[in-house]
Amino acid sequence: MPIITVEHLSKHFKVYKRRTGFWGNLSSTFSREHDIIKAVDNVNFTLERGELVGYIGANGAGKSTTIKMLTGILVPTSGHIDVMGLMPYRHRKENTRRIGVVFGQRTQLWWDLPVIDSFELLKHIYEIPQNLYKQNLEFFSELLQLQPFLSTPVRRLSLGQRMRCDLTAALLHNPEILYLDEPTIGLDVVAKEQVRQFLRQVNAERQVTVILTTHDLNDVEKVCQRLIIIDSGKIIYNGAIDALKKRYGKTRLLIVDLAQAYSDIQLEGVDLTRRDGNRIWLAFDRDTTSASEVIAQLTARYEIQDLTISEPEIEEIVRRIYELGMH
Amino acid sequence: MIKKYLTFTVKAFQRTLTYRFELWMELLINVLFMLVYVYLWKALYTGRTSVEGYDLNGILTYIVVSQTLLTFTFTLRIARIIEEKVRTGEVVTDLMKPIDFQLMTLATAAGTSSHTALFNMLPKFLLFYGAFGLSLPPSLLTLSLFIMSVVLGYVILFSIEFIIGIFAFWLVEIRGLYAFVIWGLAMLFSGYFLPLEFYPTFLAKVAAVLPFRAIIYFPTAIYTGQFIGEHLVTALLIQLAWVGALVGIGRLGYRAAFRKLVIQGG
Repeated sequence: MPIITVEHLSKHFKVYKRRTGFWGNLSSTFSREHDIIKAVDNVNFTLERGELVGYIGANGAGKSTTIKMLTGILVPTSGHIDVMGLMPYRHRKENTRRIGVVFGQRTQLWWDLPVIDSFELLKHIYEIPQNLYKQNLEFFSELLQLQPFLSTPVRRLSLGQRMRCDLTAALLHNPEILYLDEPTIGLDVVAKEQVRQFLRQVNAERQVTVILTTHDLNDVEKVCQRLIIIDSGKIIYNGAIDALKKRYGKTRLLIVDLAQAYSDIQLEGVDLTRRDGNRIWLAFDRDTTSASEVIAQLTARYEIQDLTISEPEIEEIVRRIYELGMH
Repeated sequence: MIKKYLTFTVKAFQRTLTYRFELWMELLINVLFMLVYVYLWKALYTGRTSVEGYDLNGILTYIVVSQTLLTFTFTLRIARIIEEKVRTGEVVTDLMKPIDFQLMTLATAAGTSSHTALFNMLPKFLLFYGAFGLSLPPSLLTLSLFIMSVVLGYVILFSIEFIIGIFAFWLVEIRGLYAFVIWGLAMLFSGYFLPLEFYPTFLAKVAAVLPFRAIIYFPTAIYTGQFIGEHLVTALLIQLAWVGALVGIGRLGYRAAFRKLVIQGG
């Protein structure tokens, strides 16, 4: 049985239009026109216990809105959410006891208090038995090397240190699900790698179900088994990362700098995916078309200054899916 | 359950220790203000023995006790804290915890204010008590009833600030509302400036229907012995009623606020 079931989930926001100028302001006061923004639009997915899933999308795609509905702090406009048999917004307190949440942009630690005091407070808030608390604190301090700054006030921690403490704070009460909203944002490469390794380990050793949103596709590639891509409130991909790579990874990309901006570019077996001045991006299927054929065609018809071939990384695949939609 | 919230009190108490300089400044300014008030009343009483039942010693005691209690009003800052939480979105973090927001806020405030009471109000009071030969409450019973009344008054002040803070969910800016209620209404009607007996009849009538006099005037009048017997019991019952009403309104308010936040998004 899935730990999370989301069916036909939608969240619409009313955005009031503001007219400018004096009369505009005045008329806005009396009658307000609004647009409906479909932040999440008929989304369906399930998560099994112990899965580690990446939930990605561009800014404003609906990632955080989905997470907020799953954690129970936002009520869906329509649709159904089942998290461990609970309706999150209706059973908010009960739900919060069994989940851990980390927002990369925000800390749940008390700014002025030493880290350890925040953990103590959480022990009481979640009513964690003393022996479990001690055991967990030791486990996470060891794994994330928290010892050197446990008695430092949170406001004096570096972003990387703070994130390690926030991860601990979210896991002290042994949650069954961990929601992470951009956990690696702003971190340097070393700190990012530390967080990723930690998530893999927590997921493997403690069977915590993890759902993480991110902009950094390295997070997804290195941590997650499954990927859900959301765009304009709709899910456009839901499946294994390998499958995505296989499906879209056949495409190679040729980046060409032309000598001049040709108005009309016609090539066989090649898609012109992007154009920026004299630079063009050409995609082609490596099974049916070879790079030399494409280059031969190009040099025969146009004057070329420079070119590079790139194998598609997950980042490129996802960017193309955002831009072109699923085919 | 109670322990969960007591931790907030303890942590808030500790946290106050981080801002020692600010506390000393507050204490200093407040002591200077109290000195001015004391000398003002001394001057006003020249050639008089008693006004509205207060002799010089009585009025000085009233002024020092009420000025000391006023410290809660300008150190509580609960409305500001809630506004800040709403503005920064930190309130979402509170929503994600298995905890009652109102109780948590009260527990936190109690921690900060216990610190204020111990390290600001008590020394300040003792200083003036010694320097001007003020009176103590007539009996130990009065003293305990006074303390009870102070606590009830404190919860009333807290609840009013809490309600103002909750308005931050709808209004972008609550500083105006805060100033009007706390620096306007509360200052005028709480009786910190002078005993409410000195007020013209219509102002006294307005004060009687508002909760503010229960914050400072009631406990002070119990301390000085103005309220005795039936009068004193009525005062405590009025305080209890206001506590019930204002805590209730605060609760309804934050439920509505959270519902708004949760339905419309933050």
